[in-house]
Amino acid sequence: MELLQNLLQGLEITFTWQGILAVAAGVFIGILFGLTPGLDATSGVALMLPFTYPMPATIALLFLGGLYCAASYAGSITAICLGVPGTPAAAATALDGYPLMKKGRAGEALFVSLYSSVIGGLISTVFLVLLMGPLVKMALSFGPAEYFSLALFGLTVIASLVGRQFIKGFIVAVLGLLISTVGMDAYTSYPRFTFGIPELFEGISFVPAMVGLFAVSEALVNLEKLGAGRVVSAVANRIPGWKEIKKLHGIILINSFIGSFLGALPGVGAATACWVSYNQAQRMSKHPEKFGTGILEGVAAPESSNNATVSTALAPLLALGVPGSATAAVLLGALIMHGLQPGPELFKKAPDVVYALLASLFVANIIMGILGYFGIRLWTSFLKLPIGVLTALIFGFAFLGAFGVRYTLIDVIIMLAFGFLGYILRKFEFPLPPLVLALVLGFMVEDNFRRALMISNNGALIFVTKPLSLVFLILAILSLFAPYIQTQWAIRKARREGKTVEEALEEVSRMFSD
Amino acid sequence: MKSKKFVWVLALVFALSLVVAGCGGGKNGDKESPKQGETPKQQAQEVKFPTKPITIVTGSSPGAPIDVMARLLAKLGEKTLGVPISVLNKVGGSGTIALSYNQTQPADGYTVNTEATGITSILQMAGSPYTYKDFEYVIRVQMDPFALYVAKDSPYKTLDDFLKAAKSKKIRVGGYGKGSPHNIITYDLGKKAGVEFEWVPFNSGNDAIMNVMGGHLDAAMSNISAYASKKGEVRVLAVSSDERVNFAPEVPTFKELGYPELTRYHWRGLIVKKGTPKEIIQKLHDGFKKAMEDPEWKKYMESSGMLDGYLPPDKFKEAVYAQADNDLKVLKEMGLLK
Amino acid sequence: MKKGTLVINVLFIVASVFLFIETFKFPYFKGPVGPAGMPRLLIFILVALNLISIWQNRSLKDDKPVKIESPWRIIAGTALILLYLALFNSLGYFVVTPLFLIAMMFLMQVRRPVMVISVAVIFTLVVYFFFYKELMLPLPLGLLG
Repeated sequence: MELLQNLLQGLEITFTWQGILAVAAGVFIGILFGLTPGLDATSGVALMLPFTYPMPATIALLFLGGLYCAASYAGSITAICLGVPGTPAAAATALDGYPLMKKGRAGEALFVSLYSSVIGGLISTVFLVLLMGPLVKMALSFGPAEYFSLALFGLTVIASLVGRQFIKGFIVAVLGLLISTVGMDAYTSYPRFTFGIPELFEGISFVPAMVGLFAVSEALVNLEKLGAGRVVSAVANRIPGWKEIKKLHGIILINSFIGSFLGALPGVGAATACWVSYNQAQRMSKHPEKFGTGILEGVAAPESSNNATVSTALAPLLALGVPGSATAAVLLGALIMHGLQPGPELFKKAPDVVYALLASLFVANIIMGILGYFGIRLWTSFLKLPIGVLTALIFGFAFLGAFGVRYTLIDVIIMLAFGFLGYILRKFEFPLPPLVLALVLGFMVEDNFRRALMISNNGALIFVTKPLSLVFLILAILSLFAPYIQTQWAIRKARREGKTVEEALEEVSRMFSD
Repeated sequence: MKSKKFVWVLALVFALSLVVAGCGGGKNGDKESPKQGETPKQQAQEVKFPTKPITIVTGSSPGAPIDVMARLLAKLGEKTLGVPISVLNKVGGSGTIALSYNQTQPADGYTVNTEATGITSILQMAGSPYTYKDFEYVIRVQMDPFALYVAKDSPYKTLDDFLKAAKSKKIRVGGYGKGSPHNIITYDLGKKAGVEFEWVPFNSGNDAIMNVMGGHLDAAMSNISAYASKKGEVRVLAVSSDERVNFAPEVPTFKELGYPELTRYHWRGLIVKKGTPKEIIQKLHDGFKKAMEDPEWKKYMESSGMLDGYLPPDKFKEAVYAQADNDLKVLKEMGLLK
Repeated sequence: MKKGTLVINVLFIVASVFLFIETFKFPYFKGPVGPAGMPRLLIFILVALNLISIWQNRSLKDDKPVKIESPWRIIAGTALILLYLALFNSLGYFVVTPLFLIAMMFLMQVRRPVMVISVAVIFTLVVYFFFYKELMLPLPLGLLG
């Protein structure tokens, strides 16, 4: 009851005109940051932090909280409309979102992405409010071994991304892992594969690499073909009916849970969660072969999941002063700057601020839903711009976003290098998503593998003797062989239906074609 | 062939922009040339600093103690220095990445790095491109004592329990970086007590403490300031300050437990690239010194468990060079340096 | 035999050998896995995968060889990008960016001058007022500085 009372008090603070204005402004600016390839929630909150200095602590947090939510959603807008994820967290959304746009169903994809994000965000906030203690306990149960196994599980998603290009998919995945070893080694401080370039000491920044692979390579393909094969249907801004939405509720619910759970882990962010969810949705689907061809499930899964990481990332932050994501880490700075030391004592010393923040996350998701809804028509109308204008703008935003990561030209150069790499790989029919996934998870794999061995009393056995780690390893194996198992099932099913072996095999090969 | 025509248009655009670029280069040259004729002294009197935004570069992730210091200094320093100050996080590689970045910028005082005790420990390790000698010292700002963390339900109730256990089994202590100050003080503690700890590097002290709380690691060596947000959730066996810390009076010092040699502080301060003019360093020092007199600064120092560590440029530099001699010896003993 | 894929495979193997030699510079580490451990493992897998790819390639038909449809436009676009990079600092962001956008739209055959110029100008102004002025993103001013 006390919790409810506190929350109501928090809502009271949020529902002043300054409160609502702060959240709405945060949401609005957050959408702009999320939209722009290269700029995301982290750089948004960091760039906006100085603005919030003069504001009272509560208002500043409402503003930044709204920005965080909205930026995590808005990356999907460009992922769907242009095939260019605006944030790393929207990379998986492009897999089905972009084909949907090409089919003239951009409005549907945008609506589903917004709807899933709002539901994911709301569920995550409920988790945060009701289960902060257990979430933190769970986060603490993750040591190096658990993180390693989780990352390995994440990597098996590659198996479902490679499609027919099996060997080629694994080649680019290994390339991605190798690229993630560039930079200073944490255990010896030796700069690996940097060839004396000091800017590479901190490794290849992930954001410019991703923007290059998706945005620049897409722009180069447009340049070559002048956007041939691009169809913008007249009904591009049709919004799906309630019946279609209802079918997605199962997926949205499951992946909101997955996202909420992964969000609370420091060291795992929305960029990982979106892939895990995409994989889950495909594995549990009755028609896994349709993923990647442009179906709404492929948008709903990653989008509900990546927004569900937002609120729960605040759990370890509020409880222990340990941020659950890069963006939450910037929020921690904001808290301390305003004289608020997070931790158990914050709830006693400044409950008004804490509960206003919690209440504002509900409000932020709802405002995001309203603003986002009106945005859909705007985004689809942008699609009517000539492809040349859109391509030039993709370049413009990509340059700006890459520069905005570390304020140096080297990131722009890295982005362009990855752009040309992506273009060449596309030309020779290498799939790009495995490369991006490997870049997200590569560091987590190596770092935690070595650390786990250092703290282990029984060598590599640590990965199987720790129960949580073992669970993820089993999941990883299941996930790796799932395509094979699914093939066997399909053959059996086809046989049961009285088809010949040839017909069955044909059906299976169709499953794996693009 | 419409397309061919546009290749020519493009070529024209290239050519035009090259010409414009050439003009731009010339202009800059003109601006600088009269100054070359002047004597250095005249130039010194003319130093107008700062005239554009300053960047404070920090090697920690946003929200880490040194980052918070940088952000507050930036906020308060904007008032005293009169220009916008932004904070840039350059995370990783035991802090050397932020310093590498500093070295890629001009020595004009507009790129100020936050640095800490680690500058004399890690940077001298093999393979590091820059040492403490590549920098000038602006101002020492604060001190944050080291603290040894164990889980709140850990069998080690006191430092004594902990060291006794270390005699009979391998104890792993985690913390920030390899060859870091935390690594060095842990090594020293082991040496004084006659035991050997195994050091596990983490990306931040907070990461190590989380692993201690989760039971994955025996102990973590971090700073006492991290305790402020985890009071009651984790146990601190000892703190390295001379006297007990105000906000955590229940935590004993290493000194009172019989290890006076471990009385040392993790300090934090501001540095710039070597070759930055003295006048500019002085101006930076004055600006930040004034910022540290702000009531908001005092409030932050108190609530976060920091101790005032002010030193002016020359004294600061002296202290760092002295510390370097000592750390070098220890690192050689640890086998990290040849 | 798909020639294009073969070229890429060979390039991967050459790069792998080069990187493998580089790993011998990594320092010794007293612990379970050193700094060279993971990179070497990955390089081995990469080489193996490429060899498999070459082996599989033997029986494949080169039915649709890779070709660039309008090579001159890709070359012009690349040149434009390189020029943008080269002039980024000296001319300044707010000079090169509108020029780049206009040139890129021309290259993409947008033939509506009003649209081309307004898109370039509006984009640059938004970046100037929002990112440069308000958010203090330190974009190089170049000529304007």
